[in-house]
Amino acid sequence: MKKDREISLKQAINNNIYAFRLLASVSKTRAFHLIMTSALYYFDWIFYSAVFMRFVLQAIEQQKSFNEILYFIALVSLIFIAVTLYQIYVANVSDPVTNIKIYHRLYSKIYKKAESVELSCYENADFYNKYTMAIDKADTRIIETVENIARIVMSFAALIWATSIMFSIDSFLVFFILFPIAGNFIFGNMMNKLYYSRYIDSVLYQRRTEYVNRVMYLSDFAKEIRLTDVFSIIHRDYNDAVKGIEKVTDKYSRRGTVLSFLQTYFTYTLIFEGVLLYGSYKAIYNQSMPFADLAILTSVMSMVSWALIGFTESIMKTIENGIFVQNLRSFLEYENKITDCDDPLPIPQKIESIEFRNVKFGYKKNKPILNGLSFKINGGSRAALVGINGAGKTTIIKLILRLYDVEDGEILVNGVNIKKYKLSEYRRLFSCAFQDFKIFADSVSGNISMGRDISDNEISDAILRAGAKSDVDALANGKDTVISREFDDKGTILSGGQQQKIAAARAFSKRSPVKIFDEPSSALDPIAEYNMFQSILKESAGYTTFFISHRLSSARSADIIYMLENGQIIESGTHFDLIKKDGKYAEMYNAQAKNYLADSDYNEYSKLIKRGVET
Amino acid sequence: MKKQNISFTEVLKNNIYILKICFKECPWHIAYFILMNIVSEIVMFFEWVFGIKYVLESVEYNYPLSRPITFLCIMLAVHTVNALLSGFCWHNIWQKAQPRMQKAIKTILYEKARTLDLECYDNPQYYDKYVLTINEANNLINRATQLLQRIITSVVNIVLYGGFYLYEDKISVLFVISSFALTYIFSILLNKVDFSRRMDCNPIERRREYIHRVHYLADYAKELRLNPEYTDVLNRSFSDANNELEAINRKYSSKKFGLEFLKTYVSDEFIIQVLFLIYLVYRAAVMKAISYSDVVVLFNSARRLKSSLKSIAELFPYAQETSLYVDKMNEFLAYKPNITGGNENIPNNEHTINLSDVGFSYTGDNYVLNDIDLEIKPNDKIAIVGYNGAGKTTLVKLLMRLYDTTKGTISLDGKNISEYRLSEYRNLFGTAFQDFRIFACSLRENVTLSISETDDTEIINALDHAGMKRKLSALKDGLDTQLTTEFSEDGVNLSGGEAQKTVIARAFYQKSPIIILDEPSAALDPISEYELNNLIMEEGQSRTIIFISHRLSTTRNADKIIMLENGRIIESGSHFQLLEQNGKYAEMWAAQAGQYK
Repeated sequence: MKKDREISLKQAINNNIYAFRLLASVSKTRAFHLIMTSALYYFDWIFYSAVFMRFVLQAIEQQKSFNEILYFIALVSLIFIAVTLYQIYVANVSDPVTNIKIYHRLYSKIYKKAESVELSCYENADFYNKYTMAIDKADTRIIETVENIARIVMSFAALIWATSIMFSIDSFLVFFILFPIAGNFIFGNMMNKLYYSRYIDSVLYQRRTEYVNRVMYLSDFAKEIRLTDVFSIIHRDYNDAVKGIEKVTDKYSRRGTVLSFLQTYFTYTLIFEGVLLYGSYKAIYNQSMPFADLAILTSVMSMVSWALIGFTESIMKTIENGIFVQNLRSFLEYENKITDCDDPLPIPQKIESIEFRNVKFGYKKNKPILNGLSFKINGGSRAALVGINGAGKTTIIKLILRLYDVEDGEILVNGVNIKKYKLSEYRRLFSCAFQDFKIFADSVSGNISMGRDISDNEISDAILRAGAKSDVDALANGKDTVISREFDDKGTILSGGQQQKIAAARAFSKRSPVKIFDEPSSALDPIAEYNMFQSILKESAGYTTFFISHRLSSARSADIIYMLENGQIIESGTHFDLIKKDGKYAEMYNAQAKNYLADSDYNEYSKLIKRGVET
Repeated sequence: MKKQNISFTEVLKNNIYILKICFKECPWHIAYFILMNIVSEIVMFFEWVFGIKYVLESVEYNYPLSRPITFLCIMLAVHTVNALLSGFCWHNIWQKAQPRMQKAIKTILYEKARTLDLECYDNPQYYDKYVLTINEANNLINRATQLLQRIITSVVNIVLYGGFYLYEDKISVLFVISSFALTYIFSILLNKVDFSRRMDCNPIERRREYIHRVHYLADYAKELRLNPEYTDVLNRSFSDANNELEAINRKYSSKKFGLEFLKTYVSDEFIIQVLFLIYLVYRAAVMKAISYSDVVVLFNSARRLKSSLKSIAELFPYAQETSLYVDKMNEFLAYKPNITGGNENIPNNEHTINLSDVGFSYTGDNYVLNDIDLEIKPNDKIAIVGYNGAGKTTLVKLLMRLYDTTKGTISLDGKNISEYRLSEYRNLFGTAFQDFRIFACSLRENVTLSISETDDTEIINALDHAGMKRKLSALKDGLDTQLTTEFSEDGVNLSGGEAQKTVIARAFYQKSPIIILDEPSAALDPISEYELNNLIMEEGQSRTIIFISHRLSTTRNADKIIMLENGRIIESGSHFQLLEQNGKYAEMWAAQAGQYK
């Protein structure tokens, strides 16, 4: 019942036509059967209850021979067997298969698009919300949308047919149809508005009850609930929410009752009793209505009511469907912002330099993270990015990878703006190990090769270099073990540290001129972290490397360190340069190092050195 | 779905149990609801069956016009009353009853949930068995009230329509009953076939669902862009899954077609719309035993009677499924927590904790901790270090009595901790766990975690010490700021480091004599980490502090460092003592410290 955005009727109609075309392009068969079954549904109903029954009753009244009637019934039954066979075929043979086909083809289109849009779309709440709403059950909703269109057309046709039958019995009867029309369009509409208002008023309370429920059943909060008095807060909030819902109900109670009365009365009661009254008057007093006609009138007028209700509901649904289709459509028709330029250049074989020139960038408008950032590093050198959380380190990396485009300024590789390179090839220049990597429901090898064509040996090698050999050997099927519980509840899952090593192996297995490491060891214990770091040092020897870590000890081996604050480079140089400078970097480094090396502990430290512990 | 042979009485008992809860909470609402349903069905019957027959017979036998007119006017009046009462029921009575009934059942469940041992949440077996029932509470209420409604409507309908049929023409009943019986049999067969089909499809659909998730969750978006070749792998998998599903559906199509034909046409359409019609026409036209009006009415209501029969047939399976849920709920409510307290009061002095030969295992065979001997004296600063999975967090959970030891004892001031009142014992500790949570309430309440009246100065003090001074002054609503954007777009989402500091403030606010910190600086930048270390030193002068950390710089200032490996204490002592020993701690230290020259 959520109205996420109002759209005009014209747009809604437009979107519904789009949906029809989309369905037809994906499965002509389904579109056809859909229309046919809708038509047959109404035809079946009206023909049987009005035309056929009237004929039978007239035949009885006119004292026709029993055999004649029997013959007629048998004949009509044959028609209905054919119709039923068709409907059963569609529902049980054709539809199950076309359902899959539609799912397959529609989602292939959607996934392809999802893979190509720029990353900022996923981080833009507006776009992302619309996207998730659009693809949620997209297949069934497209089918529903087209079914709805068919229903509008057919229910309208049924309405006309039923009305004409009523007219043929007695022209005055048609006026009774005004009652359900009023009931539906006027009172029905007011009722819908009431439901919507009531929903809006109560939605926050509802969400609170859902939140409380989550807190109580998810294991995330279990410790706090046992160790503290937080339950008293949760309980109070829950009770307040329930009271709130009751207040909302009271607010709408009187109006709701009256409207519901009016709606029912007009849509059903008045036409039903009214037609019977008029009909019996005509039949008894005027002797102008035969029994058979009066008998089927009851069926016909309920048909009119139902067809009208079906029709109005379908009109309402058209708008709702229109909104859904709008979301889907704007997603599928979205023009990617990060695209190739005309005549893109091939990527260079060797990296000479990477440069940021006056780069301005922010995820949100008017909230720049980088404000005129500039630096240049030479190919083959190691750069460390340091700074407090939110200073812009990861942003720089994302810009280098062209996951985002700069707002102003340029990023140049070998002196050429990166926008001039072919995007798909450009990203091949980089191998990355991020902090928020994802493990896929695939084998260890699959998670390392990620679809690339690399040999078994290269994978084993990468595992070794990442320090994960013993972990992988310990698995039941070694490299081929599937590391997820996605499809098998007893599947293997790795610990946080082990997963981090696999993510590093992923990066190691990719032979690319630029290496990027962003907090690659946050979940590892000191020994594993130390080994990982040694591996990374070896890996990156001679390659252009970017390194982000809170452990400033890793920055020491960099050829150049950039210290970021508020989106600017405030200090840069080698570790020793910056220590000598005694600025913010030195302050940060000393703060961290202090507990490792206090002055009075120098003796201890020198003892360590004497014992040959690696430093 | 498992099919269990549950006795009729048990099913009845379980459903009545839920209805009792509903009735206790809203007795008048339920009474009104029952009455409304009965009246509505009676009115419908009078309108569609009795009414139409009355009017048609007036025409058939040419009765005076006044007869149908009076009847119809009465119907209009009855309808008015019914529509008003019905509207009031749905827009007021029942709307209010729903959340209240849900609250009644949820309150019972929540009260129980708080007393469950933590084990029920950590152990997936127990979790599925016990805890997930909380999630199904609303469903239970809906099912129970639906059952009530279905019983009422189907019984009333059977009595009215069945009575009508028996009165007018007994043989007609046979047609309806035989149609119903055959339809029912074929639908059961059809369900079995469809169940098989769904079971076959299930694992493949899971695969498909996974690929779907990978494409819509933002988490994977970056990976897919950096590894574009993997999208081909995913797409191939997607195609394969869909092709397999198509094949399965084709396999079942002919069986389904046949059964559906038998169910829909033969058992239903043919018997009712062909055979029954012919019979009625014969009775009226040839045997002249029933009126034409009867033909119309009997024919039109056949479906109605049939569906009432169907409703009654489905009542028991429906109630049975509800009963399964109730069984689960009862198991949940019957759970006796293993961790209970004794009656001893906590002595009013400085506390010493002793762990003696402590061992622990979650399952009974795999021991996570072994032979732990430890003495924690008042105002000690104890650091616990070790590789991932060595048992550090488990040790903390044992200290807090979230679990009881499998072997050995933990004692406080000489007495086993199980002898003390549980909540009093736990109040001795202020904790900041690694996987803490920020709640959707004010910053104040996120620190105090209680609704009792508090002194803001203490809260501000705790936040300051934890390093949140600057952030607090930047918040325009101060301590009243709503945290998380769960309920309001204006809510504030704290960054990882800020959240961690808030949780640390929580631990220190309590003024508990013993503070436990589990990886308190994991999300902090070096400066904040440094400030935290100072805080620990400062507070440690008047309280016992136990902390776990990978950052050996934090642990280095402890009075005693315990190193765990595979659940055992392998080294313990002060930082310098351990360096002298030149064992694993020294190795770890060198690895981390050696890089800072």
